[in-house]
This record gives sequence, structure tokens and C-alpha cells, in this order.
Amino acid sequence: MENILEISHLNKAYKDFALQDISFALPKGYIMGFVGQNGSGKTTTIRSILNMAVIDSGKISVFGLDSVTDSVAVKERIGVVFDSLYLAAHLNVKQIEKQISPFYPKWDHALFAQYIKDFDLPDNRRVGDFSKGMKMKLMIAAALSHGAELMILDEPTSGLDPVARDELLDILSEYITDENRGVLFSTHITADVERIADYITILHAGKVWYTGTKDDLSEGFRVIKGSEEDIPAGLKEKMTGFHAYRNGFDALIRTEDTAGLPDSLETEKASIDEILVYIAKEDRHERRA
Amino acid sequence: MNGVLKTVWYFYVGGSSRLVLTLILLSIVLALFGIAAGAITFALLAFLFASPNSFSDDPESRRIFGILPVSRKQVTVGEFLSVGAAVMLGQLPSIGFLWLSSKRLLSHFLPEGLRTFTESFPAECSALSVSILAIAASASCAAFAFLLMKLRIHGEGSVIKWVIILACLLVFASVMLGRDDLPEERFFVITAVIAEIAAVAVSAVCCAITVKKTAKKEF
Repeated sequence: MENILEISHLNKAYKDFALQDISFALPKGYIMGFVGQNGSGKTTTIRSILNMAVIDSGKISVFGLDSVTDSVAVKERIGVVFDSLYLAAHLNVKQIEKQISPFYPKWDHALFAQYIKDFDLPDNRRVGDFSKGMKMKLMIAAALSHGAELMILDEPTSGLDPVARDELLDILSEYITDENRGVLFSTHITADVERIADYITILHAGKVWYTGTKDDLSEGFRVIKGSEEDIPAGLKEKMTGFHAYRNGFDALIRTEDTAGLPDSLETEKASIDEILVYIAKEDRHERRA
Repeated sequence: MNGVLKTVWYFYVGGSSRLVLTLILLSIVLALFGIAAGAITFALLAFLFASPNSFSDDPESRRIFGILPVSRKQVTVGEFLSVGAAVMLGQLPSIGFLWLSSKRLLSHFLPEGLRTFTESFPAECSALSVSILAIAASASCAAFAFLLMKLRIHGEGSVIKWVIILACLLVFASVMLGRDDLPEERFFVITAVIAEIAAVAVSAVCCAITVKKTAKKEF
């Protein structure tokens, strides 16, 4: 499988936060959900891909090109949607098109007009006065109108109503029907990821906690519950987010570590939400003897 | 079109606002009544407002340059060109307004007191007044280039400072245009030419320093 995006050993340090040895790859034709708590490093990683943040070390390759040295060529082929509007808020849709279209050699005016019509966006109103959903649709229209082969979306669904969220997910699903494209979709709303992602990368505290297919993730982890006394020796150390309470405990465990468990301990499939919660619990040092 | 010109275009389209049109119309009206100083002030302001994004230190409004396919260097050069061109080209309509003012086409409609006041301005479109205008515009251009450099390198919110400097320059220009005892015309013409060249040089140096210092700055 050919990768549309490949990140190898990316490091980027700020005063109070650092991305550490980030590596993952997105194959062509797939959607990757990029999840993690707020402040886990999702936006910094995306800014690094776009060369908006200057990386300390590592390599980011997009379409086989270097994201730093070939930055302009890469960006001509990327569509970007952020959680807030990056286009000039005091202009209307027509003026926005006039302003940004010269930057893209493959800009398609007819296609942009069609998206604006399909999305029901008024072309004579200041875009700063648009609702959040309308702003998101405008960014999508701009991203799709220059033949972007990779869409990068940073928390696009946060703050959207359920209808607008559903519309966005439909647009992405339709976009990815062309197998030469890819989507990197950062969010902390895991339901969106469960619905459309093929691959998942979980970031935690600036490190990759998991990267792989969604199926492998859901098969690879289970929630374990029961009485603490029934835990076999050495197993507790393999648990993530161990939480003891009066009548027992719960934690996250790799499926491979569940072999030979006593019947008194129950395990069940872990959702992405649960996985994120247990990772956070581990971080809060909730492990108690 | 290369990245620099695309950036200039970006600022140009972003600057086409109703406010610019309103200021230009106001300048024309004032010029028709023979008020040259006001006309020039408004013409300069109109062109300054023509680049609303240029002096913004709001990171949100700069994020677009991290998304558009254009290099950091091209963005910086394009921005300096936009601001420099706006200030320097602002001289042309200002000269037009100065000429229009000298005709005093509608001044007889003004009440007596106001007419006397406006007539106290020479409003003459001579080589002397045009030279003074050019000196003020050059000084403005150099000042803006310097402040833009400071803003982009250090991220200082220089908005208040540049407004003060602009106000001082415009007051200077207005006062000089209103004086009857100005020294020799040739001195001003030569000074104006030197000032224009110096303004371009200062802008180019500021631009080069900014390009170097912001090469690794993040959007």
C-alpha cells in the first residue's frame, strides 16, 4: 500500500510541551482518525505537517515529498479545514474566492460555485457573520475546489450541531471514494471516528499511544473488571488506567494479556472513548494498590 | 503569478472595502470645497486602510499563510510590497485632491466663516506643495516599513505607535502646506526625490531583515 502521508520520528519541543518521536502513516484511499485529549499534540502534529510549526527533528513526507523543502508543492495538493475560520472574515464568498484562487493552479471555479450552491451558502454576506457550520462548509468548499488529494481536518466537528456533523462526515465519506485520496481527521469526538475512520492514531501527552487500523484497536483492547484479589500475579502491571474502588476494580488490558484469566474476572470490548478514558486515568496516577 | 505577487493580490483583494470607498469619496468632497490638507489626510488614510491585514498582530489572521501554498519569504516580501505600494501610491490621488482643492469649485457654497477658514490654506498644486506631500509620504512609508519589521519579528502590537507616528506626519504635512513663508522651492523638490529613494531603500532593508529573522517563525 502506498502511503499518502508518512511521519517518522517527529520531535518538536515547546517550553511546556513536546511531541516525542511521533511516527505513523496513512495509506492512500483511507480515513485516519487522529484522537487524543485536548493538549495531547494533535494540532501541533497537524501544524508540523503543514510546515506551520518548525520541527526539531524527524521527517514528514506527503505524496512522497518533503513537507519542509517541498512545502509549496505539497500545500497545492492539500485541503485544510480548521475548527475556526482562517479565511478573511470581512469578505464575502465571492471575494474569498477571488483572494485565494490564484494560489492554486488547479482551482475550479465551477466546482466551487457548485459547492457553495449545494451547501446553501449566501455569496453576498460577510463570512464572519456565518454560523460555525456554514464557516466549516466554506472551508470544505475551498479545500475541495483545488483538487486536494489529502484533506487535513483539525477538530472540524467540535461545536457543530448533530446535523452539521452528520453532513460533514457524509462529505468525507464521499470524498474518499476516490482511492487516490486520503483524510486525516483530528477530533476528540470519538463517535465520529467510530463512524468513518479506517485507521486510528491515538496521541497521548505528545507521544503516539496507538496507531493502526480501527479494527485492530477494537480487537486489541478490552476492559477488565472484578475483584482485585483475583488478579493473577504480574498482570496488574500490564493494565492501563487501573482504578480500584470499594467492591473491585476496572482497567484497560491488551486482549493478548487476557489469556488464562480466572472466571471471576470479566472482560468486555473497549470502545475508543473508554480507551481514551483509561489512558487519561493512567496519567492521573489512579493506580492504587 | 509567483508567490510574492499572489500575496500582494491577497492583500489587495482583502483591502477592497466600503470603508476605503467612503474615505475616498469624503476626500473628493473636501477637495471640492478647497480643503487640501483634509483631502490629503483622507487619501493617505484611505490607502493605509486598504491593507487591513498588514498591521494585524492577530495570529488567527496570519494562519492562512501557513495553509496557502506560499513560502514564508514570499509572504514577508509580499506584505512589505503591499504596504509600501499602498503608502507610496497614495501620493497620486493625494496630488489629484490637491489639484482639485486649488480649483475651490464648491467653496462659495460654504458659510462665510468656514469659507474664510478654508481659504487660509493655500491649497496650491505647485511643485512645492507636491514635494512636501512626497516628503511626508516617503517618511510614512519608511516608518511603516520599520514598524512592520518590528511587528513581524518581535510580535509587538505596534498599532498605537504607528497611529501616533502617522498622525504626527500628517499634521506636519498639513502645517507645511498651510504656510505662506516656505523656503525655496528647489530645496523641497530635491529633498522629496531623496526622501522617495531613501524610503524605498529603508523598506528594502527592513524587508530583508524581516525575511532573515522570521525564516523559522511559526504561523
